Amino acid sequence: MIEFQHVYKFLGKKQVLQDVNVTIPDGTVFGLIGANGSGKSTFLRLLSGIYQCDGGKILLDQEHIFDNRRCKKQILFISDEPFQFFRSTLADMKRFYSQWYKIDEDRYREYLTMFHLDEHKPLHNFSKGMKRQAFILLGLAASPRYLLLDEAFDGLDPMIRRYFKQVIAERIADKSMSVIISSHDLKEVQDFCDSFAMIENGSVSTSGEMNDALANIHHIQMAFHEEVKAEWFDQLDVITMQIRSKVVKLYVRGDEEKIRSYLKTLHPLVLELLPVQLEEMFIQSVIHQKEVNRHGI
Amino acid sequence: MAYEKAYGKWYWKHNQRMLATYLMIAATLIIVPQLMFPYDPQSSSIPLALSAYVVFALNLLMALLVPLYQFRFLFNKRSVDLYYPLPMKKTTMYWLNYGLGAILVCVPNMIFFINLLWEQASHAYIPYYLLMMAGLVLFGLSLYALVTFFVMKCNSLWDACFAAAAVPISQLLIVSAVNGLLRNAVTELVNNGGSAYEFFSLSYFEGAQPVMAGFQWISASLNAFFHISQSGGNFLTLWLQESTLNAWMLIYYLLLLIGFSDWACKTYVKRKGEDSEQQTTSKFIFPLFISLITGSLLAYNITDIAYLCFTIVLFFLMNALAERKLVIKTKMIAVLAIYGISLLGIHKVLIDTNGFGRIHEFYETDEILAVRSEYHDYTDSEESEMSSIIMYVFQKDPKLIEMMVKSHHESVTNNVKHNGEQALGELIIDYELKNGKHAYRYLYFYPEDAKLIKEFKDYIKEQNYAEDDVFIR
Repeated sequence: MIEFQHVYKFLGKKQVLQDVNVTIPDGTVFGLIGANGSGKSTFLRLLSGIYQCDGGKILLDQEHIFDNRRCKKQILFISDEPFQFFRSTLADMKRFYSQWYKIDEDRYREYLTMFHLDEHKPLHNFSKGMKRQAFILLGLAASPRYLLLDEAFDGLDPMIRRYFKQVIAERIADKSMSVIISSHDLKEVQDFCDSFAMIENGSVSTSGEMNDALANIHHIQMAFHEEVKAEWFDQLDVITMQIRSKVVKLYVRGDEEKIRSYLKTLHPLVLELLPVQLEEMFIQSVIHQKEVNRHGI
Repeated sequence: MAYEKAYGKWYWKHNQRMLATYLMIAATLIIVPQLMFPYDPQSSSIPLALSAYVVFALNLLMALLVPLYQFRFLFNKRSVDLYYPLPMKKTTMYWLNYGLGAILVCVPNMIFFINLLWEQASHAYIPYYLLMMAGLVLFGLSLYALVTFFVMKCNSLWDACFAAAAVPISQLLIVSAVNGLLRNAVTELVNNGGSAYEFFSLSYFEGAQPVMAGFQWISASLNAFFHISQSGGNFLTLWLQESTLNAWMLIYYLLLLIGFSDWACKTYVKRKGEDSEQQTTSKFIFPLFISLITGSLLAYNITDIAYLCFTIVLFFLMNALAERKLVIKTKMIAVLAIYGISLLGIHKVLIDTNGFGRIHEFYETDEILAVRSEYHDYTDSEESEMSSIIMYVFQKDPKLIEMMVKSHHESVTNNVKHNGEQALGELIIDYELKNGKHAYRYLYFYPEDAKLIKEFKDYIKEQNYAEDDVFIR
């Protein structure tokens, strides 16, 4: 199990992560969601030992990960733009990784066939998507305990994504591998991940098991006689709020019955529960945050 | 250890083409002189000397390039993403790359040594070659350690290239600057001539940086080696006589090597992954080297305006490289002003105090151990009274020294009187003083000096000095 405990990270003078507390259980697909520059890649780099946190702890089975050979052996990081050696082929990169990770040769061959990749073709001749496939394939064949994929599925065609999801699901089922994936495609994260963390301005705003979290988050739409005021909802744990004159849309965290009974005291004309969409919640959250920054609400 | 071995194996395999090319080039450069001139340690010094200098030049070149090659992954964010998460301790990764790099630096020495073993039927001279090679390896590796340390402080490849080039350049400039600063003071204090060596022997100072130490070492080793191969004797005694380096200097280089290798390791371990491709802000790179280079150039000749302008332009260019844009800040101008004022101040103090009482126009005969003098006749014709006095002499003869001092006094008087006009030739005097210093004087000679010069020449002829020490036409 991986734990982030009150983690802080500065890049230069800019605080990128602040007081991040996340637990990543074994055998899951963990999704990291956040806007550009929110700190997702920094999160993964801290986890893989590229960066050292400026405060707090990052633990794997209660051991610090940074510069810890035993922990790092259990983690393999594939960045959003993987590095390859000059004129190297996939076979060369496999040889490099095999110094530290046990590459499952049968699976490697199987994936090569599945994704129609030539291991002897120089990687610089691969398209961006093919290069990404090649490295994810290597990561999966290496079978680390934690595979970290930074925006790995972006730019892959739907068919290849589907194959990868299938392969990842198999690997998790048969070998207790965990995949930690950062992505902009929130719909995909919602469908594919077991647990998630949403990072906003360097902090984790929401995290947990996907189903539990979604069950605890409610998407509510209401209409009133008069103009809606934000302070009406101060008593609720509001994740995002979108007010349009007499209509308001809310993403609220908490017990559904308690929320509903409180909202009824506001005498809305209409009160309805809508399906929770992670993507919409994320977009609203970003807009909400921008408004907070602009108006200081 | 399994990972380390595997990494080493992978490294050789991954770099085998580059390594093969390097081996071929090095072997060709080292062995060609041996093939061009037949090898004979009893009579010929050329192939051995050429190969030794080629080996050391390759050592130096590799000491500058290898740290950049071995640690280039630090200067690219994507390669940092590949290397940093690998399950290896940072110290292990450093020492592996550093060790493999050190082998690359020493490859020319190995080729040279194998070549000598192959060429020599009897291995009587092997210990001498080994001693020479050991020194070159030590100087090469010291420079390698220094450059590696500075490379570790850089965040981009360009900055690392600047640092790698700046290490030997700034070292050479510092030596030249001290030499220039002192020499300028001496030449102002005496009538023509004078050198920094009149203050103190600069040989240890020069030997304190690896490039010059290496060349001194080769020269001393070869001289001692050829002396024993022709006349016999104890190599180590001869070598110590020839060399300005001593055991303390070797200990200094050993400490330099160990200290900077370890400091570079600590710097590598402390490096942050996020520093890659960022502006280099370490005080050990641009602030240090810009200060050293500018200070040295100004110290070399602060009074020459053209030279001063060149130095100022270079100073701003180096700052532009550091800042990635051309800027002129008040702080920079203040730094230049401080340099200028300080150096002019030092120069004035040296002049006003006669070099802290160390510089004299003339030395007493009992202060002089030996004298070397040369007369060069400008007229060089049969009709000239001076035509036969192109002379070179190096002697410890007290009588000769006394005559030389007398001639020197006379010559200075005539030089002041004529101020360089209608000179017949020039006189170069090098006094080796008993306190280990050297005093050089460059003077013109005039018809009035003819009598003394003739006496001097006749005396030399009478003495029957060894042929190597005296040359008279």
